Amino acid sequence: MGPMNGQQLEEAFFGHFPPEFIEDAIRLIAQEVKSSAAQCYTTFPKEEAYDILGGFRRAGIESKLRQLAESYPEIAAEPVSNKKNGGGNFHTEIRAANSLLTVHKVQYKATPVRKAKFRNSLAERSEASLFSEPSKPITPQQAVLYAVFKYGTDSRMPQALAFAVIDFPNKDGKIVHTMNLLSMDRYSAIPAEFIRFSTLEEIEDNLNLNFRSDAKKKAREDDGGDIAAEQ
Amino acid sequence: MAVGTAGFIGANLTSAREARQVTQASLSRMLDVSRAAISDFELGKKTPSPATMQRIQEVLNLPYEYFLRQPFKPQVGPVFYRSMSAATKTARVAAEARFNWMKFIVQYLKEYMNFPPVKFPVLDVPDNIQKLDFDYIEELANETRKFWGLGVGSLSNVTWLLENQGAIIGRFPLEAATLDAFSEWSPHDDTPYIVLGDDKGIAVRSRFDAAHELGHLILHRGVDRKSISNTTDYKLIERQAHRFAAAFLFPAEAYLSEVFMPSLELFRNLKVHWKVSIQLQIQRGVDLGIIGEEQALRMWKNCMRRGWKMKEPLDDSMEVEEPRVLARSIKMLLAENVRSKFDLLAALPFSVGDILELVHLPRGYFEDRPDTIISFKDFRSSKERDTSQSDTEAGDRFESDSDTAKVIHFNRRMS
Repeated sequence: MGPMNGQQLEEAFFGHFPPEFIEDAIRLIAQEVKSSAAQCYTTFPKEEAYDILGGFRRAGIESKLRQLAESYPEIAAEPVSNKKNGGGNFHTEIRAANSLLTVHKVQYKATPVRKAKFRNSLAERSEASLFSEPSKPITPQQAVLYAVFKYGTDSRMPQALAFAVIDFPNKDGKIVHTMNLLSMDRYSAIPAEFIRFSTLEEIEDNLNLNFRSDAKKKAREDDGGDIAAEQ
Repeated sequence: MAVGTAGFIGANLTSAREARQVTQASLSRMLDVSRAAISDFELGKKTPSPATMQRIQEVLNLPYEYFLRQPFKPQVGPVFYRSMSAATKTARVAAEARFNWMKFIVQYLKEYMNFPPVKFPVLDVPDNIQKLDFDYIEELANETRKFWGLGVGSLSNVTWLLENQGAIIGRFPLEAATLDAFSEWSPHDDTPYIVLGDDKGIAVRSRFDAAHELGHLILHRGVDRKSISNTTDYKLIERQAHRFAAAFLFPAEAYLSEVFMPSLELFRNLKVHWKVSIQLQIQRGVDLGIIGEEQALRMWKNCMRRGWKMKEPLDDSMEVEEPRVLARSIKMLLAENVRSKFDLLAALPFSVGDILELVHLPRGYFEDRPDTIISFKDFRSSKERDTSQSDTEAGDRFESDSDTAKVIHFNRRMS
């Protein structure tokens, strides 16, 4: 069996991560993107809000993704220290069977996530099983699949989820396949859910139109006038 | 000696001709008389012969009464036209003539009806239009909403809203591609009037027209006619009314919270809720700094490529708002037997088709009543007319008893 193609990667990924989980994750991220922007931009001056937003949003997304994972028995999410890779930060790894997912904010859909030792390490494991010519054939179910969930906003619209894609990197960080989630039928309508339609201002048909108090008298006068003229 | 038409008033021929967009030369050909004769009729130097009078009625589709009444010349304020620069003078004159007819009908109805009281906000608007900036216009639009107890949501019906607040709205064909709507705060009865063209039949466009005219009524009540005739000033006035309309229909607060990831698809979805065009939403994004120039340019090009410049998605499925005040007044008069259709038609010297159009009742509304078919004789029996000698041709009289021509026409002949 040769290296897996895009379709096989997607099948392998969704063989481990239920599509429902990805749907929930997109919805959760869209909600957090919106609420964190609203929180920051209504609390702080514009420049300060821009500075604070990234961390604020990430905190919300990572914590809620862990909560979300708890509601799926086949999925586990945990904070992982990068210390063993020489880094000082934490990241959240979401695991389902042999697939592993990390979530990142990037500027553009095609922007690769910045290099990090933990990602290289994860990609190398993935590379060994999926992208190289294995001496022993493996099935997608056996593979260790590293997937990078990238999301982002439009710079002018920080409150809106603009894209959500999943990259499958090799050990060099080269993306061998990308899934554009928002172009998939199942997920494409999710951003629209976060369009807030303001309350409809219902204009009632309560026209204040009525007869003048002297309308009938006026009519009688008009009629009488006619009769008098004819006579 | 030639016979004329007693009581004929030349100014009425002028207004009728203008309303129908017929030139003196065209009318002379249609009547088979000289152009000089038409001019003489209009100037009151001569009156038409009975045969010519009959033809005038037929050609201009107006009853005999129309030409004998005292001209209705209410005091007028500045009239604001959408696309003033593009509208031909003929189209504007015709529109104003028919608008004048509508006001005549309104004055008649006001003898019997209490119309909704005018409750328009009087806001702090600078007299000098140059001092009226767009940010302040946004505030004024918001103030107007607040004055009427509205939040920032989509308005279910702009026409009803304005009528509820005392505006009188007409919707009839303006028969000029370049003329969409116009408005006037009439000094005659201190009432805001709005006329919406019925030619294009596009709901979102008509709502915008109504909001645009509201903008004029709120922002430009103090503007004099001179400013309107100044092209530079008028362009500014139009831009101000546009901005007011956009802010009134889709307040910035709502736009900024609902328009994320601006795209034509999003605007298409929002169009259903906000009942504003996709193109207005693009422009609104530009005005509010949400959409950059390059992105806007791409969107305009996309609109063009998709044919949305002429016709947008959903234009066929959204219902155009209908005014109610005049139509309902007539229905109430008839339902309560205060006036009969016969009385109405006798009092309003226009063709049935014109009356129905001007009050926005459906064509054929009067046809199901036997008293609708009124012959010239019938008219005379109830309202004896004085057909005395004309000034120019004294001695002979207009013998009209044998005339069986109907003075009420159900279809307009002139386009």
